[in-house]
Amino acid sequence: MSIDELRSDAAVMTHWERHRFFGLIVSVIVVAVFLVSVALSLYNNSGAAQLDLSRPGYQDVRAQAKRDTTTAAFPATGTLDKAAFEQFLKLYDSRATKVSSVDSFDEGALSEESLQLMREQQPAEDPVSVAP
Amino acid sequence: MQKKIAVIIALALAFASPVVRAEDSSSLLLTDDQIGLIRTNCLGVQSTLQRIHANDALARFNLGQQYNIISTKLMAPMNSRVALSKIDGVALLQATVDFNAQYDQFDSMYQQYETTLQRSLKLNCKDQPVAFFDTVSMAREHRAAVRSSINKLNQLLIEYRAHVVAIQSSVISPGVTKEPAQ
Repeated sequence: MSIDELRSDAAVMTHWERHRFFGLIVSVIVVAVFLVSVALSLYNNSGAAQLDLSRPGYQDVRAQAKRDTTTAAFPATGTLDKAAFEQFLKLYDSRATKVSSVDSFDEGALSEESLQLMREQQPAEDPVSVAP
Repeated sequence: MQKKIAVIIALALAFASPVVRAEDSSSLLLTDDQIGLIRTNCLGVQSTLQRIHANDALARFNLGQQYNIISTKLMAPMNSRVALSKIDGVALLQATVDFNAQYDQFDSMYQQYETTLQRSLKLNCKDQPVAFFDTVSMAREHRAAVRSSINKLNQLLIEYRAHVVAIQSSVISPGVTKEPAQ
């Protein structure tokens, strides 16, 4: 196909046909922005954002997050005898102790005594008046 | 075609727009001196809040994990086993339902608290000391709600255990065990 033929083809093209590649790029960007905004809004509104310790600001505590990979689960089938109850109570008590022994979200952490938002600044001591 | 585009745009706006909640900002009347003190101290307070925020996220992560394990790996199998053994486990089931509902409540309370605390960290407290004070006060209330839901969850754990012990004492008598139904 010669250059003249290409030129003549281009001359009969509509405006949309001449810019369809540009249109394709714009459409792809619009679709991507839409999908990302849906994903982000789901991420924020579902509560996943609050549990995501990989976010900036959590570097210090990230290492302390304990991923519990234990497979110790109480079997869903079997005889309910004394040993089964004892096994269950042992597993249950160990888990229950883990949550109840921790003093989480105590109200004192945000109290005025703790934050001292209205604390008066102590004036710097005057060395002349302190000296005997 | 235009109708379809309008629907797509409406959906995009609905998903992308932030959730708006009406909140009661019943702030105390602050004197000028107090506002001045807030301005002076707020940057230090924000740094403390940042640490509290990170530690709370860790606590929420660890607590949530443990509560999930208790619900899915202990309570659910025990309920199933009680049902298979044809023992009356209505109280156990009710306790599990209450526990799961309370867990959802805890999750939602924490989300609310985290959002408020995050807002107090993002505020320019030097320019908006009153708004900062209000947000911190609100965060205190939300934190108390989180604490309360944790206490209720722990109470439900105790209740569930008591039901299991009751079943244990009623079912297990010397030499008698319940075989699962075939």
